[in-house]
Amino acid sequence: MTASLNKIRILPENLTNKIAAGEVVDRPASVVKELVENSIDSGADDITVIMREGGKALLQVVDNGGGMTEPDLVLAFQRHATSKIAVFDDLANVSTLGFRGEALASIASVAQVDTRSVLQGESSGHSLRIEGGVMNSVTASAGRPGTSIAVKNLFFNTPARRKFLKSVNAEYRQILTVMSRFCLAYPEIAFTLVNEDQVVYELTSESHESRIGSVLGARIRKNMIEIENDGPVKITGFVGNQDVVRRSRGDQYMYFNRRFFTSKNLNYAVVAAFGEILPRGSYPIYIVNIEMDTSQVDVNVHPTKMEIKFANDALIFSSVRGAVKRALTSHHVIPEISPWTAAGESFHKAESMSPSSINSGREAAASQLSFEPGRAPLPGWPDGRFLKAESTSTGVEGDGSASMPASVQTAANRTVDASFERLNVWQVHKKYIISQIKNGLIVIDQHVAHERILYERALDSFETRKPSSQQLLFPQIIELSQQDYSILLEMIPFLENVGFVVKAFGKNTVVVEGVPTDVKIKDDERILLQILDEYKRGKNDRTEIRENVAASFACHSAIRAGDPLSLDEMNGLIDQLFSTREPYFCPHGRPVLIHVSLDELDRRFKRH
Amino acid sequence: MKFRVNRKEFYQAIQNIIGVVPVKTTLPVLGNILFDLQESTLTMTGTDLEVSISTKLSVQGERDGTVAIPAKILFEIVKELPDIPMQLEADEDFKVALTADKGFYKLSGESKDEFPQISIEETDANFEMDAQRFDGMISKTLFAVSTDELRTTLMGVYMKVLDGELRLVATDGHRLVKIIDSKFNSSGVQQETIVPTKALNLLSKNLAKEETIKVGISDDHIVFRLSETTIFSKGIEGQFPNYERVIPIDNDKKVIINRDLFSSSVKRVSIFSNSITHQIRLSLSSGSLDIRSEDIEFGGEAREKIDADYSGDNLDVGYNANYLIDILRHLNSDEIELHLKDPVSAGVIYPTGQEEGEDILMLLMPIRLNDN
Repeated sequence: MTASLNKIRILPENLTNKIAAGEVVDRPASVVKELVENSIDSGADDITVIMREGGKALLQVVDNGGGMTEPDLVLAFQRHATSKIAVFDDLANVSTLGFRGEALASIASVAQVDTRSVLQGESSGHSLRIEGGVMNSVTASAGRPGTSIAVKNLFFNTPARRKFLKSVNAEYRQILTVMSRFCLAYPEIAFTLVNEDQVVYELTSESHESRIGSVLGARIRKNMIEIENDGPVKITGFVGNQDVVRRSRGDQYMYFNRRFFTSKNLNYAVVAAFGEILPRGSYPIYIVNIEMDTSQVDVNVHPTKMEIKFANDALIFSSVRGAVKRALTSHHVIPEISPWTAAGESFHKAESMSPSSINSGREAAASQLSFEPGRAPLPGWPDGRFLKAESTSTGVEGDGSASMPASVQTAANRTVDASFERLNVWQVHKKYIISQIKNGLIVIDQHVAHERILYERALDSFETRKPSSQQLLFPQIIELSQQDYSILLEMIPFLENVGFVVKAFGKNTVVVEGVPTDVKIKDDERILLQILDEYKRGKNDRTEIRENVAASFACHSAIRAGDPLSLDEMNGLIDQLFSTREPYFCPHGRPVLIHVSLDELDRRFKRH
Repeated sequence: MKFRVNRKEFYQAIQNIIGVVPVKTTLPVLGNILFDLQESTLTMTGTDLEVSISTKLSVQGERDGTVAIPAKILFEIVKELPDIPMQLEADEDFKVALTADKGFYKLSGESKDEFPQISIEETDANFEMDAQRFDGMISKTLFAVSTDELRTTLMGVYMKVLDGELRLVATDGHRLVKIIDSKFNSSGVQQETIVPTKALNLLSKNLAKEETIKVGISDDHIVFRLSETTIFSKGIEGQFPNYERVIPIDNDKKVIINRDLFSSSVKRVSIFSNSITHQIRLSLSSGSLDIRSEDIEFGGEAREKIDADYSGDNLDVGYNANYLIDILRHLNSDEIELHLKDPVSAGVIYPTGQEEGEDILMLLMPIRLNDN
């Protein structure tokens, strides 16, 4: 029995060579990931993570797992020491989380690590201190069964590395993200997270569903649908219905044998299952666990093990898509659409969005007069950046390489004499404003135009003073995930600068007490969440925060396509638009208006 | 179905119920009014499935029958006709012929089977109300109802019947009206519901000549029975917000102002306010009230000073002028009292001297001004 307790072996040379070298530890969050994985592998069902200063000063993981013997304890900190694989053949059958055998050694070489481990059933064990890879002697130590590893002053001996770390808040959020991945994969394990001596959360062992509620909030839990697939590829998990789609890729959790990984391909499998019901630019929430024979995969692609290679990609893809699709369909989330309607609809969409088709019939739109989704940018675009924009006003869907007819040029390229006759303004399809100008006509995208106006106003208000804010009779309480909460707190000064009054309300909730007076804000909660997502998606560079908040505020508060406008409103919008500094492009780079010259119209009607 | 009727009464009856007919509907049959003739009594019914209204009219009946007739066309033709006798006849194919003097008009109706069945449930809780008094209460509350479809519970007037008290509350999250009839006899009924705006608008239109309304109320619907007309409405589902909690009781800065002076001053000053925010600033100082606005974008500015009975500390508070004008317009007293606490919490407005048996308060959330 004692012999088998010595689980840790030095990997044979040929095996270590088979494992790609690479640094495992690049920031506090990756330390947390490695340590918690070890705890889970040791059979712990109660894991506590304690940190200070975003993990830079202290990271401690305490578990009630199997513990290590004295020799194991010493061996554990040597490179390529692992209890999990012994020879190369084993590598094909790894089912535990950590296995590369380099994590602890890497950590110990760049920090001060105190380890105490007590075997199950014993009341005393051993402690070991390692500083910058230098091992002190092992001393006897009393305590409860399990292992506690405290990592202090990470990168203390590599100042360059330490400088590279982000702000305390940013590192803290990374840790929250890593912890959420564990919490959602292991609902049966009790997780406690302590930050700066305060308990962030204390999750008890619970059902998967109830764990989703604890981590992502009750609203999301209520909107999650269970998915499953049996057979060689076993799939379990949950997917959010379209009421909880987000504007950014948050809350997407893909696991292989409960090991978190990222895969563009499989993410697309989920998106594909949603099909048309997923609004453009939004992302579904999902928690998907794939279980299958480990010999069919290679988890060893990247040292941090975030990517996985499957032997049979196509099978996994269709299994995931199928599982999600079945769940959505059985919950009537996806209405059945016959192919004919779908085709008709998309044609209609292309037609109504193309400026040239206003006067042209179906045939004309399909003929050479209309523009095909071309490959090369046509003359008229100042540069290629619009081709990457999510949707341009020409709105040709697909690969995003929307093109313009050579003759319909963006106003930026020409000087538009924007002296309108105030009555010659029309709204078409409740989406665009058309107006006659001296040498032709212009088409304005009403949403983008308003977006531009609000964007500049928001930026200006950062420079000058706080705008006024309509106070609410019934302040709205918004519940957030820990991560979003921490981000929102950081955003509050900027939100106040555009007219929101938002206050922290304890335990991951904020209360909205006031909203900007100059925009019609109906759904405060959704708008705030969208601004938050937008903010997360953008770079968090300090200088860009303002522009970020301004842009997302503008985008989500502006009038939408589909809002009817009166003549006065249209004229007001146009007046305000042309008093902005850059009336031709929205903050995201989409064109605000396009100009069709009289010459061009004449040419098309063969008047020349 | 065949009957003769005088245009004037016929038009009046259609006018009273046309408001229920939905303008846009996914169920085209709702664009009809159901005509049901039994001897000399014509019953006309319209519905949008939430609110239904049914009214009776005496006609010279010739042949009993039932048919659904397109409401909009009928209403428009009857509106344009002079006050002369007219005849309406429907055949088995639901073709409707309208004859008036030398005119002949034909429209296509539909079978009564297509029209939704309106069953007005009997309720246990019934009581009577003074029609004119109730009409007055409705008109003072309806303006504050929300049009925000995301908060459905605010899209109606909360109505609570207690022993000896009838209470109406409306709010859109920025302002609130609470009005209590404390001389009300509820006949022992205790019930509450949220009545959709549309039902109350229809009711108000039909109250002009009424003296007493019979009301039946339950958890999920309400019925108003008038002499010739019955209005049935589903109650709005959901919990009305806890309005008592947001009515401040410690607003110690009290000012008394002449309502007309105040209102007309606010109207003038608001012309110069920002056209989107309608923001104005009230500055209280001993004995007077300053009302100001400015529109930075267009360089406009306005300022008026009026007398006010005030002796507290100076206080500046911002409001949306339109909200304030709305509130002042819906009060009847010569003077009003404005009770304030600070620039960011709710202001309460009372008429000076409540009307007999009536207790009304209006609440307005301020705009936090940029210098606070």
